[in-house]
Amino acid sequence: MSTNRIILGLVLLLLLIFPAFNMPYPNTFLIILFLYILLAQSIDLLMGYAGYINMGHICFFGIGAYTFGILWNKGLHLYISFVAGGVAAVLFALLISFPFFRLRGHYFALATFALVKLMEHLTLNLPSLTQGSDGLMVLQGNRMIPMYYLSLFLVVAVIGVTYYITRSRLGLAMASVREQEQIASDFGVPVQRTKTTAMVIAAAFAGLMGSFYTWYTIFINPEMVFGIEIALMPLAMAMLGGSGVIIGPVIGAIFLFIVEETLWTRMAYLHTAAYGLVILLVGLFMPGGLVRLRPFRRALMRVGLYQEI
Amino acid sequence: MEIAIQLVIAGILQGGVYALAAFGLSLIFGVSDVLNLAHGEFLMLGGLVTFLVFEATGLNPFLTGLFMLPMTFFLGYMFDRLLMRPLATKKEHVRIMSSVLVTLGAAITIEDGISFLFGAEEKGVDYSLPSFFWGDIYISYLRLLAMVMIAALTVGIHYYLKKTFTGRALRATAQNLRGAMLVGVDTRVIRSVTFGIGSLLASIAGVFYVVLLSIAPDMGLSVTIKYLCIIVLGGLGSLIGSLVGGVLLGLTESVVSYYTPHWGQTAAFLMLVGILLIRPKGLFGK
Amino acid sequence: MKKKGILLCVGLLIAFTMVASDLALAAEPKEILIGSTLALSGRFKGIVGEFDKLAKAWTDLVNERGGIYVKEYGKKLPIRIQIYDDASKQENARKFYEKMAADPNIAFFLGPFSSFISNAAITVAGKHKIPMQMVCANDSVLFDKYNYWRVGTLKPAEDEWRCLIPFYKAKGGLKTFATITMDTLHNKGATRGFEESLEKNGFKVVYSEIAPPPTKNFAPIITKMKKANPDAVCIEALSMGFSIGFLKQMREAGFKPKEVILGHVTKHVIDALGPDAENITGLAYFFDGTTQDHKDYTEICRRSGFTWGEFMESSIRYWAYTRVKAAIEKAGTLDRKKIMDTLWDMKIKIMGFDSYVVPTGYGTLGTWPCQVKGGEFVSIYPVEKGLKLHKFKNP
Repeated sequence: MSTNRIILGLVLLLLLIFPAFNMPYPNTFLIILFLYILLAQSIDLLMGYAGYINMGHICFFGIGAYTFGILWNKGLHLYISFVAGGVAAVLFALLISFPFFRLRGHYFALATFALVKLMEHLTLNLPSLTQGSDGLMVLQGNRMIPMYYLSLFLVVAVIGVTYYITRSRLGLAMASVREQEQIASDFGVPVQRTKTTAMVIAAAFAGLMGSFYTWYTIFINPEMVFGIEIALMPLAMAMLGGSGVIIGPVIGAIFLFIVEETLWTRMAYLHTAAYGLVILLVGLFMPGGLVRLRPFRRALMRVGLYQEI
Repeated sequence: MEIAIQLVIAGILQGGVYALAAFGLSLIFGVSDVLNLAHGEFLMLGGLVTFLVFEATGLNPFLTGLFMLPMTFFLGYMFDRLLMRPLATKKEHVRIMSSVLVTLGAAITIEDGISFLFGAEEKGVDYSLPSFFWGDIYISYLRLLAMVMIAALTVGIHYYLKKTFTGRALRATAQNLRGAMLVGVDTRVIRSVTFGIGSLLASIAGVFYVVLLSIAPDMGLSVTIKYLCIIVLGGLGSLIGSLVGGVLLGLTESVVSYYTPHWGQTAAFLMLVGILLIRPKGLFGK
Repeated sequence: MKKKGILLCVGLLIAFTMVASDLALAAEPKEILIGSTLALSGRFKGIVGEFDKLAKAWTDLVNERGGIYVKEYGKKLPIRIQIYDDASKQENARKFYEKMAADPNIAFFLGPFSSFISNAAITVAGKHKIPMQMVCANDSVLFDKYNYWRVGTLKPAEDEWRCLIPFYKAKGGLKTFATITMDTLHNKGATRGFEESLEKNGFKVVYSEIAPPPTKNFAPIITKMKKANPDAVCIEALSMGFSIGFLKQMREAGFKPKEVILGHVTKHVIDALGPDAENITGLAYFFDGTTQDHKDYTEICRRSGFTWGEFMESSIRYWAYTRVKAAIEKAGTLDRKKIMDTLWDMKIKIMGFDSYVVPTGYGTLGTWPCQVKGGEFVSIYPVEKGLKLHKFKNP
């Protein structure tokens, strides 16, 4: 058995039996971490592989969150509402893929960013549907253990799917779109379909995680799911960890999360500034992300975890 | 009828303030090809310094703004020199990412730092000029001033770009980096100069903000997004575009807010997205 | 290269241990430890960011007097308030309260700032059965569902503006009101309650508007309000940027109603408007007095480096702290259930005013009118005093 499989297996095993240790705080800790990892990983599907920086990725998350909340409050069964969150996000992705993929580069990035603001405003302005600024509250469904396993499952799924994509024709198509879209199209690569597929997959995961989030935090409001900070976070994490490498966003999410945690509990003041400084330094000195740093890369390669398209 | 005129005037004037800030961003983007997420911070800093000076000495905020210009230029120049220059040589894909990380990190750090040093609450300056009344319609002199200023700036920058050597060097860098280097333009310095000018413009807008409304240390990122959207709407790299974009946004907000305040901001963004989909490069994009 | 790799791994290891050490259980202290989070950064920083100093000032004051007497141990114990920064986010508050719930040294909780963050906090309190004295939280969202483990300090948001009614009835001269409210749960509740009271008491609401928090351009709204020609304009917003923007634009528009009332008025508004802030009427969670509570409150504000006018919410904090202290003393123990029972049942006087809890969980701290005079806040309660001091903004 190759090293990477052993490592992955061990990590997975540890995570699976973790709840048995019965530590509520680390449990919460891990669930949030899984959330971050999933968001970072899903944004990278379109960013690192297809080369489109979707700064509005969080819209999928928010739409999933609200869809779940609205449907569950109306009495729809829990599982159906949950899946509906993902479905709504996918539908939204399909909706915007045609017009938005006509834009390139910076235009695409900024237009999608505008989408976030748009969604935030729409949510605020349709209070009959979303309770607007009051926020949406769902029934108390705070059961730690099923929640833990659900989020773990989603994270493993998104990483697994990303892995399979890198080995599939879709992955190859995405890479060609990233490198030279015009030439790829000339050579017969179904560019539009490739991009849309990538976005849809990313949206599905983000949307499901959105459903989970509402279930978990019981209360959401537009700022929480469409706010600037949460919108920029997956972006920063994926870039910081290493965009285009499967394990990159995971590392990025873990890194930023730990930095956040340690800074927060150690420094009463200025921890956000320190956080910003860390992001700045990484951007300046490690532009390919942490994973592409030579020592890291070597270590990961030796272990077989360094996979990019 | 009067109300319509009032709304249009208010909208245009508000748009003028928006355009002022967006200008700088457009310039920076045109030349350096960088998404500057820290632009709003310069606006905030401009407003902050004005506030502090006003608190301490009561000096006319516009005078403070004037004296502040060299300082913000220097800050912007150094920002680019230290933080953005190393990124210029990277591949495009990597460059976009690292510039996002660097400017975002800088923005977060500045916001928190200022918040810590000067307090996080809103700061406003009490400086007002009487409004000009025409029946029931009022026009605020201050906003008119902002409009005049931006018009003057547009003309000024236009001439700067066309006639002066630095200006032409700037345009050359924006059009073709390699070409400009070939003819002897020190593109690195030009980029820093552009950044300085852009930040300068932002700080002027900041003065208007602190006088007309108020500023707070954490306003940076949200205004930056708005301005990014404006320059995209107007077309990246086009100065006229950001002017038109800003005014258009102000107008839409004003008119729609009259009927339903809630949809005012939403309408503006809907319009932005709509225009982008019809003209993917923005209104005046190259 | 290998050294760099080792360095990185070591760095990571250190980081991990640091985090892990927070999870380890601490030794037994000999003090009363109260856990809470505050918005020391983020969008609420401007309102409560200095309150960690306030907490320290209060605990210092209490400890200087020997601490709090706990009958169960037969002696006075010092008190300490543990504060984490929730950065104005619900998520973080929940995380920190969970963390504190896992710490057996924490006796119980104090609430964070704002209703919706408190919402996250009380779910933790309820789950782990830890008493929570909420502080700045009075939205119906928190009290609609009964939760034994939380009580509030404040009256419902709907009641906040009602203290003005007896005053304006006595003063006369105002018939019509216009309101502009920021779109948040709290603000809307406050305005709703006020408008109901106004109508019931013979006043008329001629214009009512709700605007989203980031609104910067109020010209359309002001134009409409001008047409309605109200005697008084009421601005209810948690964000000072909103209030300042509106007031400045009123000035630009030459809109000078007889009376201007600002729901959450602070010193920063005064600074932003200069002499134009004179005679703005507002609401404070405080009124002048000479009780020991008043002296203590002024003292801790002084020690924290501000006056009550700069941070109005500080007096709510003071009430919450005093309730906590009284509950411990009355219960005579740190047992959680007994503390919670006491918090529900006790009735004490703070600053000469009754403090107790109603069956839904709301407290009794309301507001009292005040007015800006000479760049300072002057309390204009009771009505007799107010009638002497109060002046209309634009008579």
